[in-house]
Amino acid sequence: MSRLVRRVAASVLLQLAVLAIGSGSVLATDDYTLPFYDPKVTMSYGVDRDRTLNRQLDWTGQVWYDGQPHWGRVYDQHTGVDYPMALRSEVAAAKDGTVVDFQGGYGTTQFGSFGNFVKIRHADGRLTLYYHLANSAEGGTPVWVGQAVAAGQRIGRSGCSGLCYGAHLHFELLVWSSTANAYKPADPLAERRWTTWPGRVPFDAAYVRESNGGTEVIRRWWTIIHWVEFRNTGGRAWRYGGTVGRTALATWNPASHASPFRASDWPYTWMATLVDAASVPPDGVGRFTFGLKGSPAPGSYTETFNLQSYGLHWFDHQRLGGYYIPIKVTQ
Amino acid sequence: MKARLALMAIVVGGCSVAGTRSPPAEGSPQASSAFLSSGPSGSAAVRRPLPSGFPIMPRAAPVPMPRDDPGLIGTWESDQAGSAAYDFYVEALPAAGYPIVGRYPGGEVAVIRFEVADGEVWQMVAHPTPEGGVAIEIRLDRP
Repeated sequence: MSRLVRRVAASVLLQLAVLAIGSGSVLATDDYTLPFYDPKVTMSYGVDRDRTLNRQLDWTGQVWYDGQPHWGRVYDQHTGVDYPMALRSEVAAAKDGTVVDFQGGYGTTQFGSFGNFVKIRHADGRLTLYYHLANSAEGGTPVWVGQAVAAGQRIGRSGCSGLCYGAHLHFELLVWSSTANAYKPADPLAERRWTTWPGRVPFDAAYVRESNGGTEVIRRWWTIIHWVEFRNTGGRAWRYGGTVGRTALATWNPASHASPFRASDWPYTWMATLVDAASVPPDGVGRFTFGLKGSPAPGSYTETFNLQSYGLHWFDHQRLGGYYIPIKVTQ
Repeated sequence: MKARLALMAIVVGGCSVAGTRSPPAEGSPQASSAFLSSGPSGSAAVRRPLPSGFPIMPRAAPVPMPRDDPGLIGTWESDQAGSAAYDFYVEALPAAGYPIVGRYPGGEVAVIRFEVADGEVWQMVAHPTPEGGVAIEIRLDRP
């Protein structure tokens, strides 16, 4: 009897394990994210997981025996993931780490050899590489060896330096192989390492709702409380605490301007508030609560806001729905 | 660190044979009727013709096409950088009336998928030649 129970239990556990692995849903929050900010960027070619010449194993598990390039999948012997990006587009660190090497002296579109790159070592022992970057003088590699970088921090701008057939970013993930005594390319897509499959940029959000979707009417010198909620559609958790990377609602258009509607609860003249919750994981909804003070003379105004990962990067304001608050100040 | 595809040009194009280049289209960035009618060695009946006026990268020389690849419509080689071919066709295809439906630049290969008449999709494929130049193929669409 007990043997039967153990067999049934073992079978159930095995099925659960298979489900967990197969679903790809067991993803660690704040794992590697896509190394750029524009969620519309799609992949050109992934890693060839089969090192045999003229035989390619792409990230979906399909094998090709022709040595031909297959768009969106793979080309033979490819060791990284290629992302088409216009020249001088922003490139971000895929995870917290330390810069261990970089090259910024090639021309942004200089053909041949490696070109400009940044190499980052991460706490899990892995390395990430970002190839074909723009020249340092054009912001291609604004980093130094030994610099600590946060996930989502801009570490360069894209280019077409080195061996390059059209401007793109070559992102490579390297894992130490004790048997080979060397770093070997890993496939971040096959490993589903992009925090939320099939991949998220570090910072992205979508408007959900707010306390008053119409015009806020404020009596002069009085303060009202307003809140707005956004869904975290990016790959990094939003946090209230810490130093760099805290998620804040700040003035926009122009960025970080001193707001005439600043209330006493604002951390800065340009920052209305940090996210209310201690942490908002990807796909979660975060609320931002803040005061609006009717300081200006009576009249009709608008105040525009955007989200930012403090000290790292602004969110895409258009993807927030161009968020702003119409405000009417009365006597 | 990145793998090199030294043999890829031969495998993919099957046409990177030194000394077989035809004279380049003289100063014209478009396919000439002379080039089309002269037809490289593999012009089988099933091979689709290149439309007259199709953009061809300046300084690119046509090379013979293999008989066993009917999906190949035209192929050229140039001593220019690979990015030059990609950048040229990104501009030239829409300008010549061929809307681009997908761009796939890469480290050692580039594919541009574009629409021809009746919504059919073709590809421009650029990849290295053993001599360090770029091979350009116009071919029927493939995954």
